[in-house]
Amino acid sequence: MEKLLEACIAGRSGIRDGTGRVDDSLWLPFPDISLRDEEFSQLDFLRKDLQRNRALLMLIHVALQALRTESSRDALGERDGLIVATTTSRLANWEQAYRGFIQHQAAEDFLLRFGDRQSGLLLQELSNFLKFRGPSFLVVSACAAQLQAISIAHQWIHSGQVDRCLVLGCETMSEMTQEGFRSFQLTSFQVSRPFDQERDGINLSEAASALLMSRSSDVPSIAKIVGVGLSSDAYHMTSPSPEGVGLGIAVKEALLRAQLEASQLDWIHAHGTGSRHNDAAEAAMLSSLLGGSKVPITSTKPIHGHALACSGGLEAALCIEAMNRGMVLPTLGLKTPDPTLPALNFSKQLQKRSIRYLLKTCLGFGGVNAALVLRNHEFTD
Amino acid sequence: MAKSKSVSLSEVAELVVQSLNLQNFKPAVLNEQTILTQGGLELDSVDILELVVAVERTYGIRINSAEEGRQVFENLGTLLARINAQH
Amino acid sequence: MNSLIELHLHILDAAIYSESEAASPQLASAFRKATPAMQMICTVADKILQKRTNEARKNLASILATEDGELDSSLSFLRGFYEEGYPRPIQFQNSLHHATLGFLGIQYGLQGASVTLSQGKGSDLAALRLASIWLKSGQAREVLVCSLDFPPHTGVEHFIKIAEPMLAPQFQALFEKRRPASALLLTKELSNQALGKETAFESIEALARAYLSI
Repeated sequence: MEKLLEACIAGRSGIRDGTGRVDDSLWLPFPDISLRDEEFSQLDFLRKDLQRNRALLMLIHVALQALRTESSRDALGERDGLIVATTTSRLANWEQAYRGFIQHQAAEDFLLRFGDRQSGLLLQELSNFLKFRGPSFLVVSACAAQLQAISIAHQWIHSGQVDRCLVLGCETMSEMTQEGFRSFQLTSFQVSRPFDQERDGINLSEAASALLMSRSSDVPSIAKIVGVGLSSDAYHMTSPSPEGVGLGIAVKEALLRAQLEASQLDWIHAHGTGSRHNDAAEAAMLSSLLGGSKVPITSTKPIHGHALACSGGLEAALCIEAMNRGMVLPTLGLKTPDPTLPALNFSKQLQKRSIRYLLKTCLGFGGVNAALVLRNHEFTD
Repeated sequence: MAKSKSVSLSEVAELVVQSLNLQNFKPAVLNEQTILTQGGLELDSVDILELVVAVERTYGIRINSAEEGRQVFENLGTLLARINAQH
Repeated sequence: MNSLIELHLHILDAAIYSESEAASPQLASAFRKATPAMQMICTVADKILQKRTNEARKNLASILATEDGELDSSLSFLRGFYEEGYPRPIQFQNSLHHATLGFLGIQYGLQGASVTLSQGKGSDLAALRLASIWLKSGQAREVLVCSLDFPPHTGVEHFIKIAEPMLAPQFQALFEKRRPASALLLTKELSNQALGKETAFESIEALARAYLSI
């Protein structure tokens, strides 16, 4: 997280090689946390088939980090819940086996790897590793999935059914994802330029992130969730509703639950993919929401790309880090805001300012919208 | 890919119907004036993207910009003309 | 074994659709770009939604529980790409597991929260648990929960033709089991009407059948 934050501050993008996606392979020296004896051997075993187990290892990596840096209760127990958000699951593994089958009749390998096609298996193996037998969810709702997962966890804890919830997200690079977005002419081969007049598409990424959530009074926290909102456009399979009306409903719901006016926000971290339609819809919605309020708006996707289902958690975590250091992050790639968009306070440069309330938004294919309002842990009710 | 004779309207119409599963969703008569989008076949932006791929796959013709796309995919006649311009 | 009493759910309506049933011609007009899973979800949900007002539909939250999701569409997309080198946008759009529920939402104007859960055999119970969380928190007043699977077929026929005869039957068996689509319209438990007092949870289909007494 520190490295990612540094990269955002320094304007150092992971989109470098002209393919429109992050070029550094996420490998995984395990973080400096204590591992149990049997975990060493289990991880060694999983690493023997990296192609198959990459997504699982990424999930374990972030899950253990989140669990073991909290001082007490370093494993998930009886009163805990688990939510994973992903769209690709093990796709990157079996799609290559399918290619081998289609192009070279490599039937046995396909049969073996296609056995992994259901995302439920990934959740099961993760739960086994974490020795967790409690209730869990696997959310696959496109690019809003992990923000949806956070909102579900929030309400789940509030209901009293669980005391804590570990919310994970994971997305690995796959040929299907890359070719699919290319067929939509949505990919930019340069660093993306959210809200810019010359923006020409999105960058793709792969990532894993974890947020450990608990009831406020229990443990010291790094941020507090004060409002969540979910909605659907019911408009189009891949384009957002015009003027971002659907997203607006989710945002207003989150603000209502937080008992806040939009003008009380100190920072908005947008979905801001760099696609012509997404950015236009989001800007329209934000303009309507903010009235004349000059709340700074950022997208950090030019640095780390769009991690699809994992983007909500990754970006929320990044924002929390920045919020705690009093920083509004810059939007790399934004040179000249699109004049056809409403005149909003798009953050081009890093700004130091005290941030009490932050809004995070996500939109996804199928018209899913999610919004999260966070409060700086240093401020009390 | 050598193509010596020009492509007919019915071939192009068939490509459009097949690519977009329009068998049960098209008017009885398809001619050069048949509009592809609103007011005609009601194709949306994703349908047009699908046609871009179909045209490239079948005739090796690439549509390079949204502007070019708007002109080429106005109606069956403009599409036919663009395909035959390459021959 | 989980008891449904803890979930405090009340069934307002239920529906089952099995593929042996004839498809409604009115629905067919919306199905030009619909995958088999999308057709199934629309057909089963229609039985419930036709009785809801536009206002009720607008506020309705929806959940889909599915093991395979749109894997069939994913295979179609990949097959086209690996065989011909061309990625097809409509197939990519349909390849997302959430596309099924998204499609339903567009057809019926469902603007509430919508989530797709895909976690093997646990999907049905997770869907009910999520409905319960939403109803309790006030995220929704009514939740439509659907459960269905259209097992991937694109890969199978192809596979059976090409693969070794000894491998084919084993593969075929994985995709032969078909189950009906089922749906429940849920709201918060009214007092004295707790769900599943006597029996432990089996499946959403079993609950729908019990409600419809079939």
